[in-house]
Amino acid sequence: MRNELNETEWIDKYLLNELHSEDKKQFETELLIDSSEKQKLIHRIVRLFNRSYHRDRLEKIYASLMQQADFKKNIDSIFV
Amino acid sequence: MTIRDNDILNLYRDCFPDVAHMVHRGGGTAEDAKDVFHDAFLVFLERRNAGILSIYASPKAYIIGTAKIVFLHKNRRIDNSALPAEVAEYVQEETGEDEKSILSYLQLAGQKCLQLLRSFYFDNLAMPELASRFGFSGPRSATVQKFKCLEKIRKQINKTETYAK
Repeated sequence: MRNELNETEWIDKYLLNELHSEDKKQFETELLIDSSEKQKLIHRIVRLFNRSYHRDRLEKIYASLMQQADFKKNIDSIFV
Repeated sequence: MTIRDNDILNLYRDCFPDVAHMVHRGGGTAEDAKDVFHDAFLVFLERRNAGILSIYASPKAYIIGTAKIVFLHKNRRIDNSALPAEVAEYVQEETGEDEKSILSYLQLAGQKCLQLLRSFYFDNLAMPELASRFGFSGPRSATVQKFKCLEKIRKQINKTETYAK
């Protein structure tokens, strides 16, 4: 498990551009492309989840602002 | 650094009316205005949290400018090739069916894992903070849990048609 753990952290550092150029080359030659592609996909999935988390926050803020008379009046006046 | 709720609220209150005017002038509805504004805000938050936001643009100018681009793109007045890189990446990832399908499953079966990985990758929490937030005994335990979560998602990826070998 220790090796797999190290590999996961290694891939993370690569994707986050935290490796020096020599380490980056070593990474690219030593690790399987398949593994890296899956990790990229995982990052995209977590990014989509992050968006859904923040989208919920924004929806709540919108709902709360539209409860404020001045703000609602201002927005409604734009679309009459 | 994670942006605070109050900062988001103030920025929202300050920017949204301008975006609403812009969308209305372009023939859009109030709902369109909210959608493009949220898309632009999400692009802004991702750039900000990753520390790659241009220091030359104010948050307000960045969000309004991005909202305009998103609105024009949704109305097919500009095509993908004219999009700035961060908006193109955002649009492309929003339409990834494999990602959405795996995410739907994980939102039911692995909510805590998603929260943990989100906090690590996008709130940039260090392992001690992660351990404290999620109730693990220490940084080592949080590291192992993060690994298990990545493995859980990897296994789910392997089950999808596109990635199954």
